[in-house]
Amino acid sequence: MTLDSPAPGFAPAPPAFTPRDPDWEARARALFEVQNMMRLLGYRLETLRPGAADLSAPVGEATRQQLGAAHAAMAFAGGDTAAGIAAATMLAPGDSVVTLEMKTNFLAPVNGARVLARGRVERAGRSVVVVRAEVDSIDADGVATRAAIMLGTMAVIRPRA
Amino acid sequence: MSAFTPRDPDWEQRIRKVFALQGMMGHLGIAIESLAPGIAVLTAPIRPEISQQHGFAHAGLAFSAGDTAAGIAAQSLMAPGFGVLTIEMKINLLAPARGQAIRATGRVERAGRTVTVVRSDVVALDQAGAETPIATMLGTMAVMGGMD
Repeated sequence: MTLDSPAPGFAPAPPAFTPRDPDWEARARALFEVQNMMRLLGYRLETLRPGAADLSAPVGEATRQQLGAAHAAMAFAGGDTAAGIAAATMLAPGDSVVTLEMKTNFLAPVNGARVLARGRVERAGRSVVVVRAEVDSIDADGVATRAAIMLGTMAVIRPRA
Repeated sequence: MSAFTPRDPDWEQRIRKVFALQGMMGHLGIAIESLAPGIAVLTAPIRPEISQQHGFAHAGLAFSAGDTAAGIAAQSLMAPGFGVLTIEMKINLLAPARGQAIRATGRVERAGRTVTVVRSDVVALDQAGAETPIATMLGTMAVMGGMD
């Protein structure tokens, strides 16, 4: 089961998102590029489409915790940013987005060679965007283990008219 | 003053060892300010490398410092050979992290046999040292055996 394939006959199909800004892709990419924290942690933007963003990073010495796995903050930062970029694809021109709150359940350590963080928009409202993210540990053979699931709320920041 | 009694007389030395093993802490510039049984205070400078799109510190810095402060607070009450791992954490971001540094205070709410409930409060510090709350966190840590 993945984020994009709900159980047949059980969950509704994932919503199709129509961007409000014709420049959504360039804006979302630019938003990722200015996140210095992402560069520090080694994250790259892998895929982008309306309401969805996938990031990945290698797991290295600099981001480990005491048991040798990636630190929980590596999963959080990747998942939060993936969700934020996904939200940004749905903004009207001139708007921006910030995280208000985020709940993370850690399911397994990120023991693999890479971490994959996928962010998805659940609902893109005018002032609030509900997002979720899934973070996988990817081993050297490409096998994914779900490491964290996240659900959060983003506030839309609108310039004063 | 802490209301908790540590189970391990060497709790402080163990915590400093666990902290030193976390490469992520050095990478983000997070350091221990003070420790007491069930309480840990960490600080980190707000540097350009950890900024987000508005020039404030990325939410990942507050999460990292808050989660680790809470984890260390939980670790301070563990018996020898036991450690903790975060199993879930909710963060509410209250204000942008702007200023000179952040300070995360992690506290144990309840230290159980298999689960420890923790909270963390993160503030931003300006040049004069004035505090602005930027995040509040509530989480659950699993107690793990065999962790010497």
